[in-house]
Amino acid sequence: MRKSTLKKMRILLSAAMCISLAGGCGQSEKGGESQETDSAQAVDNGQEVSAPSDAAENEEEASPSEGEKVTITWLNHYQEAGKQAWVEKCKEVFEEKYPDVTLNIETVGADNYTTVLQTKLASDDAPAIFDLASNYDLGVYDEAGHLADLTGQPCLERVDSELLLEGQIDGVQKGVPIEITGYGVFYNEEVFAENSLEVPTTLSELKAVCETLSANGIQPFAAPFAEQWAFRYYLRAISDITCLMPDHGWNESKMDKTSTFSEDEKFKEAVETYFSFHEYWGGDPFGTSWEDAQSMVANGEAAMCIHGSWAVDGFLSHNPDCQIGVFPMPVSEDAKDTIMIKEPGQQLVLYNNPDAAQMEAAYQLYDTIYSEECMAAYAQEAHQMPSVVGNYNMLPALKTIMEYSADASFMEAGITRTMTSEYEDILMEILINHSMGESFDMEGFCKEADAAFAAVE
Amino acid sequence: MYFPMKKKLTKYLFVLPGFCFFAFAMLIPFVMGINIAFTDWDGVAASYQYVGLKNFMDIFRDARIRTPFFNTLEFALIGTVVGNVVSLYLAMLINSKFEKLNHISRTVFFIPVCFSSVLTAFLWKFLYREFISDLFGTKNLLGNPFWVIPAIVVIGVWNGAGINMLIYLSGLKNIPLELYEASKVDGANAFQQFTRVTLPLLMPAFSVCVTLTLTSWLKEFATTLSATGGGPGGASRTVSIYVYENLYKYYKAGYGQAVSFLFSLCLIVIGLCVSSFFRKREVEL
Amino acid sequence: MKHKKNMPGDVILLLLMLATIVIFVIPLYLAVLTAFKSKPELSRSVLALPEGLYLENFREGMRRSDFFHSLRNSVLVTFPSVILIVLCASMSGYSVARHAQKTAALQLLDKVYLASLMIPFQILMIPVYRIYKALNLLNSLPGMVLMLTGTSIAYASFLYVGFVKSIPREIEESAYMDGCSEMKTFWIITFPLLKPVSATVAALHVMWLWNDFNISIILLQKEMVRTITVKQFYFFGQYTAEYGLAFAAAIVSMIPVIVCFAFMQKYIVNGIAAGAVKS
Repeated sequence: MRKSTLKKMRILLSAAMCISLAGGCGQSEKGGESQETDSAQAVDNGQEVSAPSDAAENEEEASPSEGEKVTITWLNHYQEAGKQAWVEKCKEVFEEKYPDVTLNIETVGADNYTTVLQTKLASDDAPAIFDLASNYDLGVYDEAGHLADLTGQPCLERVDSELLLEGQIDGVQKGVPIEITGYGVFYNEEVFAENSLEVPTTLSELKAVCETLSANGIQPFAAPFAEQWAFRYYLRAISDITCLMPDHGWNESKMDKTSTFSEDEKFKEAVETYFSFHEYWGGDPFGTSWEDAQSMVANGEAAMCIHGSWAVDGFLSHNPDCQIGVFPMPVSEDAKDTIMIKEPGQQLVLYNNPDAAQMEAAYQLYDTIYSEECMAAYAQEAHQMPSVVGNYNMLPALKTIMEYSADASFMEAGITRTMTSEYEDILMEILINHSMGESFDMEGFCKEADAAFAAVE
Repeated sequence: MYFPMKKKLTKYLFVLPGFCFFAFAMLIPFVMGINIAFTDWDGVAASYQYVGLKNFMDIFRDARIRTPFFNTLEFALIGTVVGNVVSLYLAMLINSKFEKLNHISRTVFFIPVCFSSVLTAFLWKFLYREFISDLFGTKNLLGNPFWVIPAIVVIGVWNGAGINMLIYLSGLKNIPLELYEASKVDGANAFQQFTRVTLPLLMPAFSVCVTLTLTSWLKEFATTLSATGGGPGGASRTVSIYVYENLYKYYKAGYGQAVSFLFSLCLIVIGLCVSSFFRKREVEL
Repeated sequence: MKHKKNMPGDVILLLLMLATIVIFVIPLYLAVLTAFKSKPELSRSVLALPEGLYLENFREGMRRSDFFHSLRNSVLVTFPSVILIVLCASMSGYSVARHAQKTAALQLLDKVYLASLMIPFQILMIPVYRIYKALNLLNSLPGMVLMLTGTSIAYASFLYVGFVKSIPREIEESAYMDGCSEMKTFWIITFPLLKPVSATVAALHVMWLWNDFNISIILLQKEMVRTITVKQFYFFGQYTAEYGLAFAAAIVSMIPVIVCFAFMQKYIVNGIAAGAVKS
């Protein structure tokens, strides 16, 4: 009895399913899509209720002829709370100043930023404004014709003139660095004070500092070598001063194979200096991540870390009470060679849009972002060193970096400074593989690096 | 006359809706994108030139691809064996007689599946650095070129074993109990039962799990990227990571697509071989 | 009597079970600990018990990920896709299992599906984006459903094929005798018998689609349509990460998946297909 009723129900149910399905099957793919689109609108309607501002934008997009409002997109990778606050500030200032332009902000993680950017560019959906990490990137995007000319923009006058060199391609301004980054040794000031240590200015002074720290049971350097991008500063802090500063074409000469590592005594010396600190890297540098290193310095387990100036923010997030100082990495016994490395940071660029209205709005946004008001927020909220000259409220360690005079700092602007990622990855990989033992095979390392460079097209 | 005709169409009607979705999301984009492998596109430029088979020739001359290639094989080998043994072990544990524990343990084994690879990597990086290193008196295994791949496999298995466990479990549940009883009557011990009843009847589950674990380890990307970034010194870089770097870091999109395409072809051949190996052994009731 | 004989085996089994659970639970325990710690506290020690009941991560994590809104997006994207996947894949899995031996086209389809599993999404990304832009489907949840379904069909069908074979043909043949069409027979007889597989497919895909990141990051770029999984990555900056917040958000957002799994479990256990057929 029960079974048969069940069976009947099943038949009925399935019959209903069959009918609906047959209908579904009969439809072409297109039919299925149109159904989807109908419900897409339903979803959009739902959004209109919950968020009027976004709904207005949707409507606008649906019928561009109706409104005169221009919408531009800023694609960025600023997910940190401080940088987000700054982006919000920029949007606020901009929309107040230019009420007929809507600024659409799209944020993706730094790991996915390039992917999203390239996908958008390849699909004719370029953002009006985005940022590029290095001069090399700038060149690639410029060659593709994606970048708008910034020459003559009023904001250029506000930017440190030395930095402007960085964004120029054949004399034409295509990008402007938004910040300055400093590279050097970041240290826990309390640890230094407790061990009565002075800031070292020569290599042997730094070694003495390391010895004292080791003797007192504190790891001298937190060495985040598990992450290749963080590892490279341990060499770069030295080689940028000894190799790149006297010869701005150093990187290029290695990439176009006009010089080799084997014959480069200065480079070998730099590598030797780098490796001479290996006993101060702690027991397991290749098992230490950047996150670990920040925690170690912030909590006084380790005293120093060679890194970029964003590290200060990182240390503070791990321990808001820690006092972080910074000094340039000594590279010789001469204190005059101890020079602070400064580098123009990422550059904001505008997409070369044929639509005049869009382009104008983009220029307006550019001007807004590089205004002193927005840059003050960049210093205060995002804890950066803005490229626009001004008197900002900055973290103490960042102020220290800024205060190094032109003589005592090396501004890496306007030179082909870094290797392309491919060459740098190769070099760092080989260096890591040679750094794992107790001794360093310099000839072997140079030979391997030369061979690997020669193999790249 | 009417009926067979309709039947002939019905079997196609069955696959049609799924195929439409598939064609829209995968087939058409694939065909649209395949030409890039034959160009010198850098990923950014508005135009590109066809270079014929140059990219494919370059693959064989590329010394840098060798390490990722062998790393990938190592991942696939260790990952497939360990992954399937662990999943089957979990499924059999759950299929045993502890009613109350089963519910808890099944959920416990499944929860790791819900963690993203970044978060999983965070947990295990900590475990390797502070916990496992103390336990065995070693340095962090993730920083050791020799151990890094097995160590990442452990992370991946913890993160993903729940998936295959479910498939094995539904396979186990599909085995009629009568067969076990019958074999018991024939005097089979537990081991014989396992090899003569369980394994043969689990073949559908094996063909799915082994094929898919193998190819997913051959495609290994996310866990490794979050755990080591391919390090130390490239010791855990896989082909997929290398492809990604070429596409989005080195401005060699054409070459990256070519590697990806050739590699996919290899995967397809491997996948088809493995699945047909198991499919042939599937028992139809 | 019979029970006594198995006692030592049972004890070993129980110990194995407990040991396995412990191994699986340790990282989960860490995850929960992390979620209850502020960043400085986490920095001092991951393993120590939280100093107090620190709920700020959950509050802040839910606020910054606009929790309920993105949860809604996730639900709207995941569940329709899973239903479509189960319906479409069970049918195609069935057809391939029953007819592939005699039909070259279906055999080819089976191979194409398997082959498609080997293709990394990276290759498809730019074409997909182009298609979506042309069809105005970017930033649309139904568009996302379409893509998620399309990319999952192959795997799910593959899974069904093997299991359909474990259902005896005779059952269906008796239905044909009664005059049922094949389509009808499938829905009345076969589909209910596939319940354990369907439950498995559904549980797996709920989890996968819920956690999808690669597709959503490309297709859903507006805040309003972002899913909860993508928003979890908001706590990762370029150089810093807020793991406490990330874990808090992850734990809260995986609750629907786990509830769904617990619900599906019942079917995985109860639908002992072959046994049910014989009675």
